[in-house]
Amino acid sequence: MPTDEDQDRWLMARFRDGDREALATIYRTHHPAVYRFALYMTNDPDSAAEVVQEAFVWFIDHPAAFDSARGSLPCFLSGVARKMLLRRKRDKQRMQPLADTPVRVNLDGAIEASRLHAAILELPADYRAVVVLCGIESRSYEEAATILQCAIGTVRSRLHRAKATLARKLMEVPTWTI
Amino acid sequence: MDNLELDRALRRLAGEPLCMPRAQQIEALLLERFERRRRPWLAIFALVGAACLAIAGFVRDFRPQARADAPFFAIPYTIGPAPYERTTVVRMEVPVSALVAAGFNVYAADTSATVQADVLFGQDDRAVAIRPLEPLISVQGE
Repeated sequence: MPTDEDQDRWLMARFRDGDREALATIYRTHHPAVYRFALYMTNDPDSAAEVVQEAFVWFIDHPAAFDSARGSLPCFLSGVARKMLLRRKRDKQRMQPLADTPVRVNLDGAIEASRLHAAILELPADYRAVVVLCGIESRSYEEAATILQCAIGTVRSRLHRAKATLARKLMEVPTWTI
Repeated sequence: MDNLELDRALRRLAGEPLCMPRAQQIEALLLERFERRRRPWLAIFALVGAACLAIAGFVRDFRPQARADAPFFAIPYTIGPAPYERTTVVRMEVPVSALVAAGFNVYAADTSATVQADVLFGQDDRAVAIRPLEPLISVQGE
């Protein structure tokens, strides 16, 4: 039974050989995770879609950049998306930490999704990135460290502090102004 | 709130359906870009084609449109205009057969064709000379 990584390696080989269907499959398989990461970092669906597009364009233009020995394809693509986000931040300062938070579906759990989503968006960008990668996308510390180009210990500490901040925010009683 | 509960809530966020705007358009754009990279010779052919068109246009623009330096041939049996006479040159399609009928020795593959020519009219509006503009036809005047 081939694993996801085997499948990605096979797709990458075909992609490098010029198979457009391989590229289409890579895009369809991996763009949702890249988009989710970009969406949490920008809080703007259109900007996030642009980041996804820029990341995949870079991917097409640099077919030899991915090295399976250094990490999985989804990690690589998230890392490219992070680079695009940093570039955009530098160029236009388009990062929006807080804006009109879209109403999210209810998770049927103790924590309401919309509050959790809003709380994540209030986190500093570095903390938000580890929460999205490790907390939501279930990436390992090693993978997150590769994507964010930082030490594993940094990922651990950021995630710990981010979760503590999230817990504190979620414990707060929401207030409304009438 | 314990850590496990928070972890579960975060995992559930991953299960939320996300609909990326313009997902299909982006896919089409990416595939088009990929095709361009995959077949660079297409771009090279396009560039060469564009260059050829540009050169053809350039050459056409600089091709002599009218042989202004070519001489007029006097139409046989007509009197040429006097030096003080006002004349008019009219560019027109002249039947080869008319040139033959006027007394020119015309060497043309198709005598039923027409030839573009400058026709010189005198003050009395009579044609007195002609200058063929098409090199395919050789007119030998008197």
